[in-house]
Amino acid sequence: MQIDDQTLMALADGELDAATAAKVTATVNADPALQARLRMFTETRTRLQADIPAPQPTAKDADLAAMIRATQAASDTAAKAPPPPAQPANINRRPLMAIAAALALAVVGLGWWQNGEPAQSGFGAGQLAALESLPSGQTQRLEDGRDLTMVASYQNGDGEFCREYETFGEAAQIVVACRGSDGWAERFAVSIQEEVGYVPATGEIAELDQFLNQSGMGQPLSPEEEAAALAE
Amino acid sequence: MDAAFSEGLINLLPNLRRYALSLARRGDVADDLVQITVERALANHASYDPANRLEPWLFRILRNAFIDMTRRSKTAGTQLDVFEMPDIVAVDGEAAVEARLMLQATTEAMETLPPEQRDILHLICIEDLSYAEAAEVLDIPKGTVMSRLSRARLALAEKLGIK
Repeated sequence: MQIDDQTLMALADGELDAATAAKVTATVNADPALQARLRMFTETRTRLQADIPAPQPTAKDADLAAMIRATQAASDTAAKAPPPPAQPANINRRPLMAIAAALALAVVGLGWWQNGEPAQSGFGAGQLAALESLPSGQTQRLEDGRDLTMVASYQNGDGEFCREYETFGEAAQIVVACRGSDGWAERFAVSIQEEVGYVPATGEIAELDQFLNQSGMGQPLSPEEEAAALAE
Repeated sequence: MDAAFSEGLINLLPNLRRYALSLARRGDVADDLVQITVERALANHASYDPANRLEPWLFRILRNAFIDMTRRSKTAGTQLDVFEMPDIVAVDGEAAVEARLMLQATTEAMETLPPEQRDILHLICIEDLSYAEAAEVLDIPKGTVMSRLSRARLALAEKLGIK
């Protein structure tokens, strides 16, 4: 077996696979010249490892370590999921839809309109009272016997305090009203009627969501924010 | 960024500085190189594959930074001062003196080798990189690593009187 320098060196450095290493070792053991050559490769490595000063920590390492740890900390913070959105004042965002789903009602015939001009007085006393004081998630009976459930409060793009509520009677209605300088005004309303043969695809009302988004009312106010706005 | 990555990086700072000294042969340049290496490692940590060892990845960054720097200083016409090894701490006694002399002999022998031989000896014999890892750092084929390392070992052995 012919053994060149590189093979001997690879043996000295532990870079040969076990089978090759065994074969080469056997050949080397039978040849003093090869043994001396192998020793030269082993010895150079040993001398370098023994004689070259071990890596020493320096004061500069401490500065760099601090920088690395700071970067790590910043990365940890950034990696965390963005903080959860503030808890909406009413967790049950769509009580009407939830009921519809639960009862498997064919909720439909979405007749909706959106008021271009604030219709100031469309509200009964009960609705106004609810708008002024009823916390989201709570229901109150209106004079005409319908139930009104406050869904959520928002601040719209103009900084107005807005509220979304639903009324349940023969027909159900979802209304969004905002408090402007002239008092409460209806900005969005959709009525939902039962109709045979038509089943909405999902529990979402696309027009409502579209309206909310267009008006800058993406996130409902938290209970604290809502309470503060009601106190104004 | 993985915490194991940053701790690994911190633990290897002394090794990076030692390799930087071996390349640049000047303490202040070595400090700059380590600084650049850490910055680049942090910025590019996503490209590090945790399946591999951190050493070769970092040495490669450092070496490339050194090459960049050398190119720049050539353009700028700056001359590097002769590198001075920091004083080696020695304790009293004949054995220590002898050890120090031998140690100096090895260090000096390394100094007289061509840079590419010194580089490969450092990576494999001092930093314990495998041939494949050294090939990665130096961006050369493994066969070239072996022939270059073999020549470097022979040259070093001759200078140290190892037969």
